Amino acid sequence: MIKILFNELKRSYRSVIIIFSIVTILLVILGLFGETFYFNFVRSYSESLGPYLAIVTIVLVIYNFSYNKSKVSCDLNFSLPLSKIKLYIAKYLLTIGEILVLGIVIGLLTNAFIGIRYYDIARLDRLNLYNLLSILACLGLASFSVPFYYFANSKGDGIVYLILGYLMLPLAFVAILNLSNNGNSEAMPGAFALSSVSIPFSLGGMMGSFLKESDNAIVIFNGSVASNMYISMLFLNFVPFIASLFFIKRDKIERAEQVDSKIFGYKVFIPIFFVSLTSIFRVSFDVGTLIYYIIILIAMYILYGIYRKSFKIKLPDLITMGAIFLYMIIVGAF
Amino acid sequence: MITIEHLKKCFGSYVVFENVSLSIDQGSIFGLVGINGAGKSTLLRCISGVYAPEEGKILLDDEIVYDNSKVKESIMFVPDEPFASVYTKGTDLESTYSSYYPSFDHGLFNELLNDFQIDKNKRINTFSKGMKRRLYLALAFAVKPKILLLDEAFDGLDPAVRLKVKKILIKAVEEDKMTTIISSHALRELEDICDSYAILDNKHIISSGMLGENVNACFKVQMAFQEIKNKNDFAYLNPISCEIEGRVVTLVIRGKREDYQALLEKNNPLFIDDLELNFEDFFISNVEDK
Repeated sequence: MIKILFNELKRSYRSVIIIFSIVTILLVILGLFGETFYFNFVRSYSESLGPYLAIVTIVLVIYNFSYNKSKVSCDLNFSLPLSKIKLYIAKYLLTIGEILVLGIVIGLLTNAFIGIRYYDIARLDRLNLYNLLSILACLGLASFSVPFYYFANSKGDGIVYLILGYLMLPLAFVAILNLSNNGNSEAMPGAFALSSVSIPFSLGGMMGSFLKESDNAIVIFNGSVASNMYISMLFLNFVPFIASLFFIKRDKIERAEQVDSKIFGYKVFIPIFFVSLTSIFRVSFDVGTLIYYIIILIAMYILYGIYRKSFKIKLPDLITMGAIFLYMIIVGAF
Repeated sequence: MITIEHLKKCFGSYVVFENVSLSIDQGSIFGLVGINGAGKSTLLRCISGVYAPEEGKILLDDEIVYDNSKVKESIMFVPDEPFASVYTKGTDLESTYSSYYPSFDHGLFNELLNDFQIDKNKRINTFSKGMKRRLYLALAFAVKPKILLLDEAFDGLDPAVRLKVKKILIKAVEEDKMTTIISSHALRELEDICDSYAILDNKHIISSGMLGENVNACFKVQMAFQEIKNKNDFAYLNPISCEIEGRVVTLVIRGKREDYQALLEKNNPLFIDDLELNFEDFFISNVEDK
């Protein structure tokens, strides 16, 4: 495995250096010249490392897991003397390693900037805790994103799956709560805050909400409700990756560049997404609701168009669209 | 030795081929032929372990090939359209292949590149189709595989390079007992180097075996008649193919030419001409007939 990891690193190091350089240069510029930088990190713990690293994480997942997205790439990668599972795990570990290295580099840089610019090292414990949690959140984000992207047939499908994946699960969660709780959608913001992609973005705010200026961050965070919730969500994000390991060997390579018609793809994701979405809001039959219905219909049509790689929608898709629309009206009416 | 047993491959509900069984001896040069879309490239991808078959199995010296990294160290696959990303250079591919194939010979690779006039330090997306193919062929020979799979092997190569490639292939077969499976539409090129073959058509292997034996087991004649004939007039000869153009009839028949003299004269032809039967004729006869 180490040999494969090393070989894969050799194959991708140039592009990774480019990604790293862009992020680091951006950060250095912000650190040296950005006034909000200091305040964001030390005073309010709002978004800084987390969002940067989250965006880079998604870019790295897309970059490292595009090896099965075209026929020519499949011919090269899957004819090599490598088992599919080892290649998959090696790419995953490579992505994790890259996130760790980048997270640590950015973390050290921020510490250095704060030390140099503001001579304020008193609250570095908060910053270090924030950085550590951001890195862990991004490892969770990568673990959640890898299977969604890997099992797509093309890069475009992969990006759509990532978006649906990030939105679908919190939406479904809220929809179930909403339906079982007679239209109470209070859980919605909380659910979205715990989506794999939003944790790195909301972490700063979350920490700021329970830490006072004088608190020792690590002591307060350790054992708190927030930490328990955060750690639970973090581990949940690893579930899709672990589950995906059981499907790699049976995965059909020939699906690259084809219309993605597998069961756990558009076929299931689109209905779940729209059923969940339409279950969240209580709607009535006024003009605003009518516009909402039209937007939902257009969105469904566009997604089915992306799925079929054509805007000539097939009969089964039309039936599904009709069923979702009917469901939407029923939920709206009752 | 490669053994393919009752192989079936589907893309969704579409069956590419089924019940394909072949046995390819070590040290042979095997020509895989078929019309466009017959499934030759798919079969090569199955043999190389890229695709998993739906049914059946592929064995290399009694070991399953699919997802078996140890066995795949003996197999090198050069696809019809090889990988060439924007930043990839020959040196990158050299590094990749040498990392995964312990048998990779850097000296031979550089020697072949020199022969093929390819600069490995250039980005390969700037290369022509022929140059890319030359680079990949150099990589393939440098890997020194036990099994070499070449898809559309001669496509894009000029005659001088084709000749060089054929010589290198023959040398590798003689010295290292390398087995080569070549899929190509250049049947005259295949005829020069292949000792065995298979024709893939209509989802099945319709003919296979030793190339010389099978081609020599048939003969081709052209006959002219006073009146226009139809195919039924020659059904009694059970020809592999029967082509009628006006009053001229061309037949490919399985059997010994001398045994058919009396039968051929039964329709009172004005003349009978013996034509040379090559692999291309043999292939067309088989495919047309089916």
